[in-house]
Amino acid sequence: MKEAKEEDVETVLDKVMMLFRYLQEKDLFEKYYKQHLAKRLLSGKAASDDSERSMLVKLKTECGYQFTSKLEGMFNDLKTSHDTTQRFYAGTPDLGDAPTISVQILTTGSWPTQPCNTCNLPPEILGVSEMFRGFYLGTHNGRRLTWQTNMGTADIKAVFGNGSKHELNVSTYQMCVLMLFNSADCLSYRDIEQTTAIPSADLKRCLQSLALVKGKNVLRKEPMSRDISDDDNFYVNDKFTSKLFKVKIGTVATQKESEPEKMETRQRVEEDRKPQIEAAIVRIMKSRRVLDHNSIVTEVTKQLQPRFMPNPVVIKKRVESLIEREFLERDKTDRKLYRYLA
Amino acid sequence: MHKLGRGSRDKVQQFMTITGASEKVALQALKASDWHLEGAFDFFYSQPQISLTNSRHLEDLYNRYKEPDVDMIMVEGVSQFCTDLQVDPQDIVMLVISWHMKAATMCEFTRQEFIGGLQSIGVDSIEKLREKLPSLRAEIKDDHKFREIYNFAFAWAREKGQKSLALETALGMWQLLFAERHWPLIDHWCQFLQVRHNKAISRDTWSQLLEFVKTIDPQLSNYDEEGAWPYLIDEFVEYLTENGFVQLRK
Repeated sequence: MKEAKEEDVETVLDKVMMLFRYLQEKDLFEKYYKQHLAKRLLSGKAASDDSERSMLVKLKTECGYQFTSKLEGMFNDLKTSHDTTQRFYAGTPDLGDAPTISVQILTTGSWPTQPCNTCNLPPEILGVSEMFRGFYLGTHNGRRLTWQTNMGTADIKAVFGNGSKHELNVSTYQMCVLMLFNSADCLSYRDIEQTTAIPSADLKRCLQSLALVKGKNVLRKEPMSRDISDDDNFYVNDKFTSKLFKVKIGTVATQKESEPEKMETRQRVEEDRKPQIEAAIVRIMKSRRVLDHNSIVTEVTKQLQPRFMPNPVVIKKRVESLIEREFLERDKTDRKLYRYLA
Repeated sequence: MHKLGRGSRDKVQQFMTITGASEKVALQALKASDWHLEGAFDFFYSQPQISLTNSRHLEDLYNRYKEPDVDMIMVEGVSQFCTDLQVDPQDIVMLVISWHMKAATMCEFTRQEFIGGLQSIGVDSIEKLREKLPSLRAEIKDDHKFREIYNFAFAWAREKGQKSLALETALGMWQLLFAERHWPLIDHWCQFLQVRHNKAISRDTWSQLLEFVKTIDPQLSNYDEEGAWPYLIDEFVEYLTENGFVQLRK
């Protein structure tokens, strides 16, 4: 995409939209699209803002305002964040030689967020980020800021024992780990885990990418092995060399969604569908007052089809839940009929 | 009587002459029907038992069981009541009695429920109630009454403040109720719920199960999966066929 001409991009996007029309579960598509878009936006890897927006417009034309409002929210967040960061630096002149931060303020609900426990940031970063918090909350009353340390990136300058200098592009987690080596030569896995408070699965992945990937192994691990274990010790790899000045250290990929993650996404989509199905049932019953079970299933399916195919069993469960909450009742004589209660 | 106006007094007299009821009953019936004679007769004849019970006795009986410091019959009183009746508290006849009393909660009777219930059964002593037990028990055989008792049981057995019925209790009530009906799938149903569901039972599922038991034969030959049965019942049918308990004929 990167080198493609604008017209070519358009052609590809139009083809994508053609396929999109055949999708039955557009809400699931939206979920994944959002996840990937978030990744592109946050890592600054979006091929071009124009083509991202062009795709958004196409989705909006196809599915309506509702479908894309959250996605547009993401773009707006980034723009606002950029301005906010600038105002922060303009209004806070005396920062000494603290690291420069660029904060992206993500509205809860617009972004695909995972529950995240903020890890312990290095003191240098913590100081400036707390100043930012003070600045932000000072101008926006009643908001809450939590640092999503699982989503950020950092550029750090590193000087190795052999004198070579590099700029490392790493994730926030990786930065937290590397900064520890400013004041220590050797750290055990347990030390790192305790000081940073990074969740162990994430920490292991992060250490793997720092110590085990050829050409990017800025850390050295003892004993040498292909996996990270709780008893490992880590050192700065003084023999590190790279032809490039800027080294991008990825995180050992979970490129593909793991099976449990897939299940989780699936489940979240199912959860999101429940209120949509209920709303459709209530809308239909409000206008029809009395309707038999099979007609409800047909009507609800018809209403929701543009977004997803509701499962009849799920519709039934939602009807039962509405009966339980006294929105509907079964007819006294014909048990297949439901009545709207209002 | 002297407190009543002339017109009312005449009505009471008239009522007593025609029905042969006591003055007290006449007053009760007339008050209940807003002093319309016609209405009072209807009231009297639709609840003939009222005339047969003595409210003094009922009051004494209530006081025998009520809690010393609360105006209510609670667990201890109910258990004494059962002992006096020589009936096991788990006996289904206690459910029928509670149904007559319109009791809101299991193992509790308010004054109104207790006295009103015995009045509608038409007894005012333990001995008379005991004599009535066989006929009360027979009421379960009556389809219409069974349905009422069955649906009454849901709210009665439910924990206070809960919308649905705890599974444990529901299973117990079903065993009790369907023992009378000889529903051959009852054990499968209970087992299915414990294995697959293990959650409380909604009122809809509760009342629909009775319809299912009444209309669907145990071979499930007339079961229709599009029949708007609660999903739990659909899953039960699936469970029965999956495990080969029932062969569904296509």
